[in-house]
Amino acid sequence: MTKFEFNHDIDIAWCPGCGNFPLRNILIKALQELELDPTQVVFSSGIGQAAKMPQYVDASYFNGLHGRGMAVASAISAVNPKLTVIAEGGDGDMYGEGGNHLIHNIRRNPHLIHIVHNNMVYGLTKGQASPTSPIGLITPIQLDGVYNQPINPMALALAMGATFVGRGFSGDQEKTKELIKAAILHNGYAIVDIFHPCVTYNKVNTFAWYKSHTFWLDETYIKTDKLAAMKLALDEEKLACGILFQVEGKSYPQRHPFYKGDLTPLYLRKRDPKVIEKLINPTK
Amino acid sequence: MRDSITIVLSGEAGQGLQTVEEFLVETLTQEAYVFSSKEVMSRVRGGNNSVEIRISDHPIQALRYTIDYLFLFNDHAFDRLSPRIKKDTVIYGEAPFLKSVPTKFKTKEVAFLDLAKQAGNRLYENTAMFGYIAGMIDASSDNAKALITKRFTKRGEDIVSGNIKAFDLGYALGLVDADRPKALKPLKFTPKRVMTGNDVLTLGAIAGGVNYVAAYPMSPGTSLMTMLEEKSRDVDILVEQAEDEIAALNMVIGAWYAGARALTTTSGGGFALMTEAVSLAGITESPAVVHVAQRPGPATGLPTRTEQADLNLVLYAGHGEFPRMILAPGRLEDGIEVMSRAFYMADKYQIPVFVLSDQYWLESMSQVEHLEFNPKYLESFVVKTERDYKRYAFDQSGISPRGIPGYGLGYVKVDSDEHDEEGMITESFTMRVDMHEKRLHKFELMKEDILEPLISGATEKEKLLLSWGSTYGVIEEALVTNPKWGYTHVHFTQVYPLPTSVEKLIRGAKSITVIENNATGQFANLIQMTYGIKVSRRILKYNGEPYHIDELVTILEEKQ
Ligand SMILES: Cc1ncc(C[n+]2csc(CCOP(=O)(O)OP(=O)(O)O)c2C)c(N)n1
Ligand code: SF4
Ligand SMILES: [Mg+2]
Repeated sequence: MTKFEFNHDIDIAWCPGCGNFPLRNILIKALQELELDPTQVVFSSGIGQAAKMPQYVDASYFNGLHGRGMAVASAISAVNPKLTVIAEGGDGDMYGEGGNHLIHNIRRNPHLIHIVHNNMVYGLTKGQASPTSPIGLITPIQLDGVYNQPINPMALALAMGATFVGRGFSGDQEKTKELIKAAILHNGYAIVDIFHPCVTYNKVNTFAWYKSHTFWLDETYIKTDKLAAMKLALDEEKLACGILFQVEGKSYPQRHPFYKGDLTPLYLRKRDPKVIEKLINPTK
Repeated sequence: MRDSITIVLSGEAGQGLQTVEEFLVETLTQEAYVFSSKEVMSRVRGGNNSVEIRISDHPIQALRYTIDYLFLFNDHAFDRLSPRIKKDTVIYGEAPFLKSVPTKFKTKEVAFLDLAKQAGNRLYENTAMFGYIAGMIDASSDNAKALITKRFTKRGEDIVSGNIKAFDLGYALGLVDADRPKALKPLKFTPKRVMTGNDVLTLGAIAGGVNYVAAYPMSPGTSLMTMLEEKSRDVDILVEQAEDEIAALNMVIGAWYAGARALTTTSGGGFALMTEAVSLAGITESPAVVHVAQRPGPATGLPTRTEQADLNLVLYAGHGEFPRMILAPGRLEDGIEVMSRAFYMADKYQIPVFVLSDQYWLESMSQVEHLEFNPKYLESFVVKTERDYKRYAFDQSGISPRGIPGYGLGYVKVDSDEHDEEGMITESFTMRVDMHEKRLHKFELMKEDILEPLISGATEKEKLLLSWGSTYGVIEEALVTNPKWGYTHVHFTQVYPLPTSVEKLIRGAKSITVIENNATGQFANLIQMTYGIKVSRRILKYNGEPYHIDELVTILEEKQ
């Protein structure tokens, strides 16, 4: 299986040992195992180390502005609901600069997968605090340590009414791959926050730190119980991984009155000049 | 001899001024030339708003400052309008409403409320006033009653007959008003449609194939979104209210990427938030159509008023260098061509195209003869991709063929970083230069596709008067009525890039006057920069109002 892989060498801009490498393997495997046709898969990302992912997966992508990957993805999936759309980026990109799009797209429930590489730091811009940086993390700007409360993306997504809320860890490849596959198969918006160590700039949240602070939910966990999910999400000591919450909901194409059950992409809907003529000169 | 009268209705928001305006304009357009516009305060209730309806025996597309007949809807409706009153202006209203009018002015008490009550309900007051005005100007009562019937049929027969009774009572009084204007109606007249700028832009967008709209409400840009949503019942248009303007333009770009013909609409403040995405459209070579409805700034400015002060904003928005096109409708009917053409040009050249309008142009009601659209503008330039497709291929045509994901066997890789032909990020200096030149070369290609200026007036072409956008109508009327000045009017519908066709004309002119609705002469500056000349005179207005015909004639007459 070579789909989504390049048939030539590619120059990857990540640091050696970075958690983005295993993430790339996981993602490509997930797409391959679901036997998706690469011509029907589109990535939309912003700017950051994480947001470079689409460059390294052989499929269509729109690598746009910092923070705006979700806005672009939302429109792509609305315009062609038959595509598999993946919005991907870092914690700074998606929770900081793009925070407003996060909130409002959960409300829209577009049919797409939202993958956030959460290394709790701004990698590309050399180590400043991100919205998920823990209090006390020392950075070139927060010299005495981060003092602002970090965002809790899982709790936020649950509170906003997301119908798929999941968390993974790049160190647990098999389980995280299955999590991504479940997200791709979900109808509507699915957020997957993935912990991964930034070996260059985050010396606190290391591979070992994630290993000892995370645990995976097992089969006995009932993922349709929102209060149970919220309880897990609010626990910032022991970080639960897996599908924290999943229920069926109406996705954007099922809600927006435009579609009426017809998912034909917009480019295939041709406009009849006669209809235009009638609108422009109604009495003729 | 040309003749026109100006009727102004003044009252509070929510008092029904607009209903009387619509009734009058719809009736009059069956038998005379008419133009109307409103000026409103930025509030939902109260304050003081006014509607001006101008009627003429010749075509008009402008307002007049001095008022012939003023109708007051309440006791504080007069104050703001006193500078517009002349000796023989007649001011109408209920007795208490006239109290605030200085005695030197001519007033006439009409008990519209009593007429309404006689007809059965005080709610018919506005219809009684409509009847009175219709009687004064000898409008066809059949036409008027047909409109009333159409409007109120849904509310039941009683309401229809009550309104008609109120109309008749008013009409009878208006007919015998000693101050009523002399015959004003043209001898020969074919009924015309009345439309607003918003109406024509809506139709223009549909004629350009719009099928996706993402926008965030901001006056006066919102109406286009509202009206396209209404039309989405007749044609496929997916309308989404974005969470902010940043999202709106990013969504529009994403929509084009996935194969839609997408539009966003906003005003200066909202557009300011879009500027990073304008630059994104530049480097990704993404089409985008952006309607910027101008209102006076800076910042929140005068939210419900008019101005032409965002030309520089639109011209320079976005970091880096990349091609763009700016179109600004002047003649009302040009709105169709301008808006539909914007989609075509955006698609053809893979650039952002801006349609620049303003509050006055969008909200005025004016007459149109016949509207046309060009089916060519529906043409799509999207290609089906092959397995080895490269989004940014160096193509002989100068433009890389644009594929969309899911259509064909290829991948469509688009990047906001500098990229190679495939769309992969590159830091190669030579690739940067090649890609940058490819993008900028589109400026050259676009020269083939310029919407030429409208040229009218004196044939000597020595004394030029240049304009753009909404000032077209008022300038035309001023020049048609004053051929003695000898101006040649050159009106630019394409504001950027400017046409080379008039270069000789402009360079050879003895004098160049530029008229604009802003304080610094942004278009005059662009003209100077483009054609390397010096503008002789700038006529500028920036109090939030459009130009009035009498005002402009005085300004031009002064310095002849
Ligand atoms: C409008 C804008 N502001 C700032 C930047 C600079 N910038 C690029 S990436 C980034 C943060 C990246 O952090 P994150 O999203 O967590 O990605 P990581 O590199 O950690 O994977 C910033 C601030 C930018 N490109 N655009
Ligand atoms: S800076 Fe950190 S996140 Fe970015 S590539 Fe290097 S290790 Fe990975
Ligand atoms: Mg990060």
